[in-house]
Amino acid sequence: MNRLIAAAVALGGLACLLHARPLAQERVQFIVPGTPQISAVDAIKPVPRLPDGKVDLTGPWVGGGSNADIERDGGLKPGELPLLPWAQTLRESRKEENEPYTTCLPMSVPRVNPYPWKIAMTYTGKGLSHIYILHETGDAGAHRVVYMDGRGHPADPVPTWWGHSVGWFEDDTLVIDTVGYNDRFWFDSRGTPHTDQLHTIERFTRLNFGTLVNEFTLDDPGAFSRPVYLTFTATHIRPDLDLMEFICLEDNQYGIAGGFAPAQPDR
Amino acid sequence: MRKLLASLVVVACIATVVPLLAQGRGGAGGQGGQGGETGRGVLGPVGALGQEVVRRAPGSTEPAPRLPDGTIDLNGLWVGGGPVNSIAQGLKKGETLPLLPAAKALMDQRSTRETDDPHLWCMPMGVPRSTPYPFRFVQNYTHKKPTHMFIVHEGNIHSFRQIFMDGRKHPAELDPTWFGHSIGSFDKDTLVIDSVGFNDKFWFDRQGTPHTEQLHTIERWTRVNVGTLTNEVTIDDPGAFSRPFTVTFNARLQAPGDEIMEYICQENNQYGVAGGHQNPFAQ
Repeated sequence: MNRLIAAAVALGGLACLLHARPLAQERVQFIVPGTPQISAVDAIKPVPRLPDGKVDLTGPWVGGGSNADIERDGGLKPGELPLLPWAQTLRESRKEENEPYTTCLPMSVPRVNPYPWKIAMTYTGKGLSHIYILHETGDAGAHRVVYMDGRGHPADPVPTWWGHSVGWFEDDTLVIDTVGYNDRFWFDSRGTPHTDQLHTIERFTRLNFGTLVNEFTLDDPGAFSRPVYLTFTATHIRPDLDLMEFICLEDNQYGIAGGFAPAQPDR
Repeated sequence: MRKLLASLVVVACIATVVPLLAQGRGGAGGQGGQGGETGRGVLGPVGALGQEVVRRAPGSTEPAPRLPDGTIDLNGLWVGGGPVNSIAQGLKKGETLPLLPAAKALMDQRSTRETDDPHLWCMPMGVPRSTPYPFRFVQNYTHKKPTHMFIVHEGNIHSFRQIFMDGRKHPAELDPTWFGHSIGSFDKDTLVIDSVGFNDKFWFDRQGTPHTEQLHTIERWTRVNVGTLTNEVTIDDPGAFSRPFTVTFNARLQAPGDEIMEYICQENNQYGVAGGHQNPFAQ
């Protein structure tokens, strides 16, 4: 019991040190029924490292992003998300059943549905040149690449669902900088919108074996009045488990089969 | 280069620059479009499929590189390595597919219903089918030595295959999936992938060559030099074939700097419902 208290205090202290900006009042972590999670005893074991000393971020993880409500999931109070008026109106007009994911289009960043995902640190002859973030969502958004070789963003990126991501380490924190998103995905099932001016910065820090914190900067002057800082926490799934195959489009009864029209790009 | 590539992208289309490859030993496929050049595109001469002919990566015939720990390095953007038009193109000259009568009948039926090919409905292509678009081996290093290998595809469902490299065996009871359950290991410099647990829904190729849930595949991937990756696949399916057989396909390394592009099949798919075709999966 003492060990757990000590670990919790250490965790809290470390978390405070990590924040260079106002600490979120509440770190919301939704517990997901159905995906077995790591035991409390295993979760507080030390952060594992790769042979070259880099922190091992692999996972698989569950949580660590937005799901139903990015404002709440990210630790803000209701109304705190600084949406511009047009974006607020749009959010209110959107219905859950119309979101692109119901027709198996990708959810993108920082969305994680309640299914596992992992950070595949890809070593090649040139060292850690790529990181692939792999999602169990399969055809509805399976992989995302982060270029770790020092390259910059293209001057004029083609808008894509996942954007163009470059990453680097700051000590043990993986920083991922992404631009070039399209404006089609929803940040959450309630329909929080964005534009293709979106620029995100994710800072992933593994606090212990079982916990990964995502400090997320959302910078989109097209839909928000100022940059937003959110915090999400992911939990390691039971370590003996892996990503399963999931094919969203196979027998998707929710979308067209369920009588719902796929979302048209709305303005 | 990026701007040129960017200008070729249309929302639901792919703009990588290689013709499809089905280079087995069975000879060039008539429908394969590998034939002569028919003009020039912005990035080079254009083949019969209307796509730019691949540029060879420099130094392609040099010995394959290795990772610091001595493992062969499979890193690179590859195209080919599996059947596209016809798995029979990977057979040795003179061989034919040992199809059982029921499987042959199913294949004949499928040839009259080409629109039933699941990949046209953005369903997975399974194993060992490939596309004319790039894929990559992702060696996932963790604190425990590489435990997983992923094969990440640009085309089809833009997803990944998961190969368990940690010595585990196949589960006793298999849940039939599109990509099966794959375990892998290195046999000297050859990556051997053993897979079972497939469903029977995907087609091996555009011809509709079938298989059953008894399918067991063994892929042997060998990087013979920097620019060439050979895939020798043994197909063992007593439900559809009278004996196991082996097909060989070659993958070619793409020009350095090329990357997997984003491709979302189900976004604006005009072929399926929008194209007026009956969805074979709608019961």
